[in-house]
Amino acid sequence: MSYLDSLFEELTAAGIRGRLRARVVTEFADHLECDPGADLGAPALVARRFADELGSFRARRAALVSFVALGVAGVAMFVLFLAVNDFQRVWSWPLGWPGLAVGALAGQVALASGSLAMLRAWRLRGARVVSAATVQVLRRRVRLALIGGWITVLACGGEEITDGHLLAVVLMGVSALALLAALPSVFGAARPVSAAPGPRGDLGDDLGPLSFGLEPGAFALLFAGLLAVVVTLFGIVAGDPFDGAARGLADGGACLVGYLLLGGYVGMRRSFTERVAAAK
Amino acid sequence: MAIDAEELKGHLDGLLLAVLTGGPLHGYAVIEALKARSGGELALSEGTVYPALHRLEREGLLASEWSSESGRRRRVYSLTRRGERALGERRARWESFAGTIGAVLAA
Repeated sequence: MSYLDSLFEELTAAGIRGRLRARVVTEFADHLECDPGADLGAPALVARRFADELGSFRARRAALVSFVALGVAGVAMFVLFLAVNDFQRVWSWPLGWPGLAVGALAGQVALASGSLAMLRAWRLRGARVVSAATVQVLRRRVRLALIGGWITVLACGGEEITDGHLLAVVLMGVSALALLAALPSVFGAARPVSAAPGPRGDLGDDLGPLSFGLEPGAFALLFAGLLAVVVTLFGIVAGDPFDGAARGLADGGACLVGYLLLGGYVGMRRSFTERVAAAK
Repeated sequence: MAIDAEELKGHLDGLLLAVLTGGPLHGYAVIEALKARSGGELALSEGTVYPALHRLEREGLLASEWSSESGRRRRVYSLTRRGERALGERRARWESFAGTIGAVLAA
């Protein structure tokens, strides 16, 4: 098998296909025409280098694009709430209160997961290659954020749309289009996947000095506590301290439950094996 | 004294941008220009240059297009405005770094 055939196969195995694969092979073919004795390196290593760099780039890009898309959808939803000025009416279709709860939770999951993906991508913006574990974390966060975004959008505005409220239709359309626009970059990040070694990191890698050196669990507890206090204070200012306290407890509790249920999946805390390795 | 690939890490991007200031070049010519400018002292792993060229293009520092010569298709790379600015910043950083280290080593 010739060097170029081998390179073609290794690129395919590394997840590089189509026009990019053809371009790489053509460039290497031209190089070998110029210098038949050139040492271009083992095809597997060359393919791996392309895949690691491209996979890292695409995972970061998906995180940034998704964050922008979620931001646009979030602003559109916020404007919808302001325009309708009735929390329950916006979220009352098709499931009533369960729909409200699912929509509200999904929105928070989307916000948290999308923000964390963007933060990690931003902090790694100068890195040529990020570890395979980090790429996996980025992809999981992006997926979760977009699923949360879609659930939120679909759970919102039903009643307004059935009433034929033009503004609601337009704002829902804007949200849906923004989320759809993020899909090509998300699918593009599916391959090639970096195989570079390295840890997947945790919340400290997302926040840097803003984590105040706290362990992820301690930081999540602090954040949930602060959130509960802030929401309670809003209730006091609004003249309904009991409702404020109830909402504060619910929000803080949801934050902690979210961390416990999803924190491992989205790489907010290190895996057990990583913690054992770090302790040694 | 040859400079090995490990020592080149972190500098390859700047070197690639620098050799393209003279005008568009295809991959093989980029590598040859690097060797010529360094008097053959850069022990480049040639296969590593292409991923770097692709990355610099993704970052908007290089542009590329197909050309044809003697019936062969080849990808020709050129520096973008952004690439020129990035090269200027890299040069300034390198001069500062080299000046500082040089001063310490000479002391």
